[in-house]
Amino acid sequence: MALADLLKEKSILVVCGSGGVGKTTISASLALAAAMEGRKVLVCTIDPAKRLADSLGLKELGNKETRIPDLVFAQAGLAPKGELWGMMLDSKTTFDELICRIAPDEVVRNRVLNNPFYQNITTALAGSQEFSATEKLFELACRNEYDLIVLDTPPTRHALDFLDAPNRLTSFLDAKVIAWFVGPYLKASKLGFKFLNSGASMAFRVLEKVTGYQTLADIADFFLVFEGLYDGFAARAAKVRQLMSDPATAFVLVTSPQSPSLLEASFFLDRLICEKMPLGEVIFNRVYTSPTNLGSDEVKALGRQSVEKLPGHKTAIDALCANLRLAILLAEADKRSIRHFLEQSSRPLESVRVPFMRTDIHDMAGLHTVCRYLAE
Amino acid sequence: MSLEAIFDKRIVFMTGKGGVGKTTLSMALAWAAQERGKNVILMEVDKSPNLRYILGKDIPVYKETRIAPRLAVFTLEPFKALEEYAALQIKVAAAAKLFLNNRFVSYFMQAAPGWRELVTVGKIWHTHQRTVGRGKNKRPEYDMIVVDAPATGHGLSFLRVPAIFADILKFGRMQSQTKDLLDMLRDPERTVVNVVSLPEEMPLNEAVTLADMAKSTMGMQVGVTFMNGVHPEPFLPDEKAACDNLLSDEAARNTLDQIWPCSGKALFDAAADRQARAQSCRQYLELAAKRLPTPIVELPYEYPGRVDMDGVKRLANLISQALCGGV
Repeated sequence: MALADLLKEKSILVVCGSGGVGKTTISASLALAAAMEGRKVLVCTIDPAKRLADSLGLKELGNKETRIPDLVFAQAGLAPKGELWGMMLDSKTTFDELICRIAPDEVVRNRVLNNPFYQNITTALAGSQEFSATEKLFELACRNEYDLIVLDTPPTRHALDFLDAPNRLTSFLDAKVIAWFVGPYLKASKLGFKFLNSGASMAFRVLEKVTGYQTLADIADFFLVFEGLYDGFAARAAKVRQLMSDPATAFVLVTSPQSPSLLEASFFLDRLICEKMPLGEVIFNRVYTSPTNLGSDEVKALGRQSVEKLPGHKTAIDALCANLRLAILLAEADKRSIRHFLEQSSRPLESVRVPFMRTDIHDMAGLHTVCRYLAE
Repeated sequence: MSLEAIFDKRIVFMTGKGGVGKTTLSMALAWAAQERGKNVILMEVDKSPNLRYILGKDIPVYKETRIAPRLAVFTLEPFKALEEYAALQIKVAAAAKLFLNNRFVSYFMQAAPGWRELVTVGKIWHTHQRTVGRGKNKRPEYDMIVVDAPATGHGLSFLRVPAIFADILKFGRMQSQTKDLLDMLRDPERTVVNVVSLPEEMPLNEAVTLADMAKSTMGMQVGVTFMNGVHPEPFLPDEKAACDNLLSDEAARNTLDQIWPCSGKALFDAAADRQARAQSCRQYLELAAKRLPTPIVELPYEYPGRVDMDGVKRLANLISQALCGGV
């Protein structure tokens, strides 16, 4: 399916890619393109550039969805037929909201929210951002207020982390682990450490030795409270997973045309295929393009001819030709590596190329320029 | 701190947004240090494809691999680090294995947050503690450890984990060990954090945040910011003047349009492209000077495909010159 059709028909686009390839800019441009065509679009991002938020007419993107004001479009000479909304994900708030939703009463809720171990899980630690991103996506999708949601995934070195993190978290909170943890803790509080299961007993003793009893008690207490919530949590995680493989969802992979980024991209593609997740499009970003169809040797010959005719301008012509030949060389290199990537793929891929722009993209007009290439 | 003092630190963290060239510059800094006679190890926290591209070959995970007489590289792997740590703690290797192979422990470890970061910092600490020689000849095995920090989340979040653990661990052996890690991270004599950035909006924002976080939140010493990928001016001053001259000479431009099949426009377009990039870089460098609390070291843009060992050596030279004034 062409990207223009994805923007018309899908209800969720998940934008993935390794760090530094321009995911946030591409996400915003995709959202803008769909809004221009009349859809009500929300773009969810993790870490937007401040100037990107500025350019969207927002002081900063908050955890609440905000509509991009008409004035901002008007200033860039744009009149979208639809609506563009933006928001920034806040991992901790999303977690807290989830606990509030699945907790049966206030006592349980507060016991989870105030547990030191819970607070650590939800903040700086690996995987929590990815998990909360999918959780928020699910919540937004359920509300059914937007025609399209574009999710800019968290910055990771490996694009795959986004797929793995939610599973990691659910298996972490799995009931069996909970039972293992809570069991000895309960016995310990009454009888001292006595274990029937010798393997668990040994493991628990080692853990206690290195982490200290209080820590284990905090962890056990967290699991004890969470045990009742697990089913709700797991059910929700399963639904999130379902949403990811829904036909109305598509993954968009952003990559630069450079080898390390392409290598990551191919791992990611294999994985998507393996997981039967719907891949929509590959976007090659920051691709060198040549301003001419001429080859490097032709430029050299034409340069020589030009100098013969205009000997007084030799310095300028030589410098300009050398510069143009460099541009051609770079464009050819990118073309080759993209072609190689597409040929190596185990199945045909839809792709678009966004050229390496002259300057950093950081305003509505810039985003709109990118849109043009996306829609091609 | 003088810039040169960076070469006297035991542990140098390199952090920054994903895609800014952390691995390349970590390698370049390590190379510069070994050229100055230091015995150096480059520790890569996350296995990245970049190192493989630089070296032109795969290196084994969790194995110190010597790539020059005074330079080794090492890719960390949390499970291997945990195994090593457990063996050190439990002393009986078989018992450590039994512990880690316990069905629930391995299950728990797959998912548990935090320990990966903790053992990672632990491994760095342990490497910095190792010595060679005896008696008077006893000295650290590595003079300098360059750490290529992960790009995940905020690149420094893994360094926050020891503090988080120090908070939640009330007793136990790990509590005092965690304190050692914190002492190491916060000791300005031993440790410095350098930031890697690009002259672009988002990498610069992240660099500002990282520098601030390292200093204020974690109490670490911040060294320099490496501004990587600075597009140079495409023309020398006399070339630039000549081009301007040509641009304003209408007769000459008409002649060019006749010679070139699709007009001479491509020549000027290509020039404008590169001039615009160079100008944008200059603007961000000015902004960086205002916003960053650190000295800035500029490094030129390397064209794609040129980041191999030769490219690293070129960068190492530039880094040496910038930090030590042409030594």
